[in-house]
Amino acid sequence: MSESGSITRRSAVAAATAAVAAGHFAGAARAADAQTMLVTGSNRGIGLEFVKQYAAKGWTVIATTRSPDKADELKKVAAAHKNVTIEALDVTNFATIDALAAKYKGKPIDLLINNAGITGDFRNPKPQSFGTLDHAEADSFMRTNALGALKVTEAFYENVKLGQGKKILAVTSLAGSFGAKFGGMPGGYWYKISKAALNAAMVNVSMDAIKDGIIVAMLSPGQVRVEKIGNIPIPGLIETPESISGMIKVIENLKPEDAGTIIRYNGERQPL
Amino acid sequence: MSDVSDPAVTRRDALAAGGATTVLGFGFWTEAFAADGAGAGGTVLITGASRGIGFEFAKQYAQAGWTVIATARNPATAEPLKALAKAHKNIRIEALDVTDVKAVDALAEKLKGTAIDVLINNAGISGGAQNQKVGTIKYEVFDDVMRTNVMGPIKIAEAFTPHVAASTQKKIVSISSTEGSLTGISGRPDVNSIFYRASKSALNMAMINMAKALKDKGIIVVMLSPGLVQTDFVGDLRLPIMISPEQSVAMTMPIIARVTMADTGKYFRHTGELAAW
Repeated sequence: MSESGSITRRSAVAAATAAVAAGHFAGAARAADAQTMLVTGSNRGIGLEFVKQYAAKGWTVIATTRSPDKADELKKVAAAHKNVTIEALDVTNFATIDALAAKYKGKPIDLLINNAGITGDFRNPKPQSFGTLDHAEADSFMRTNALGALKVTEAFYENVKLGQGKKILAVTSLAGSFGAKFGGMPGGYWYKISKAALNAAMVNVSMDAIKDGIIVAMLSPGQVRVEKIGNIPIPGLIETPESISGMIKVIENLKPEDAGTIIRYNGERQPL
Repeated sequence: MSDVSDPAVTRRDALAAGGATTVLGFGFWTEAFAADGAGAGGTVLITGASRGIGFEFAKQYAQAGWTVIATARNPATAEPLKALAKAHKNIRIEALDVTDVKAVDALAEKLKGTAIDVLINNAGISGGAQNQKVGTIKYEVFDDVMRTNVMGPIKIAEAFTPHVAASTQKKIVSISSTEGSLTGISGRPDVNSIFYRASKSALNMAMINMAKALKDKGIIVVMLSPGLVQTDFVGDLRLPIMISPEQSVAMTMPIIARVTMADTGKYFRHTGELAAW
């Protein structure tokens, strides 16, 4: 559609800086104070580690998962930390998203992390490889990885507006990046295209949100040894706690000019 | 843009000058140029050929003497396309809904043994600007936009890989949009097209991966941004930079003609420049 009219983002950022300053820098000054965060897909992997580390920092953590009943590890963390609340949330079920947003209406959320996502089975690349793609799986990837994050962001937007931190993140992947040299991995089609779609949606939202002083950005966690990877030997694999502590640092240091960008767990900017 | 040997540039400059139209009449001139820009003849399959850019591709490739397989969801109601096929014996119309996986397989089976030199994934939908305003997004249009703009072209490329591999030119072209450029949309929050943008970005991601997957078969995969074209897509919007479908296709056909394996995975604007990701 539109080909022109591309205003530099700098002017929008400059205008928004004043708005952000009140929340962001005040937030930084009182970093030790307890804040509230919500993370989706927190029953395992990256989401679970975010819960553990933010809970240890004394934050109030709203940890969502599709099936709290089956989230044994998460329940253990919640039992050990009074500041962790588990909530049932399926990011593809909009009624549950709206219901949870209604429950938290008027309550500030400083940080929203859209983490819930699906990758498919690493050991069976066939449904996601060109020539043998299982098209019946495509909708589910798109709805979970791209649309879910967008809907959750929209539903909890007012909560984030009320918060001090004013940050919304989405966990994306190097595999969904155009600029990254990531030619090695064949297959993963549904995963990659859903992450590209997620990135486009979040870049789009970031432009609206910065007007409200909210920074929307994407996190690239690195190749993390999540439970599903197990002992598969992958070069460059990092352990989950390292990735998450890195991303928490990235989140702490987020600036308005980071809106709409992808930042890796080690602080490097990842091309879109 | 200084490379005047670039046919797209030459074409654009000619369009800007506009002199040719007064001498020859626009239709004749376009036809002559299209025949020129189409490259060596062959067979082209175009999805979404009932109107807009797809219709124009069918028309200009037919005028250039190519064998054209023009697909449309509802050929029965595609009056201009039917009229075009009547005037050009080298156009064959096939019914195809790109979101119907079984229908795509059925058409591929029906055309088994037919070599397709150029496959143009053109069919696409915008999803409607009124449905895509952040804050009041109509989520129910998401699946349709993704299935039509992303999964459709992927499925078609999969199903027709043997046909393209059996041809001389071996090209798969997907019509994308600069709205799918993550860096290009920065600073423009007010275009209500979040799903459309996400779909074109996802399409591009699929195509760059497909380019790698099909390299061994000698198939060239490229993306094209058609420019801001005055079609049903843009509704009543009128801007000075807008071009007609006729102009857009006349500019992109030479690009399709000249791409080689060195260009596979690239994303071109209608002007011939590379588009930003």
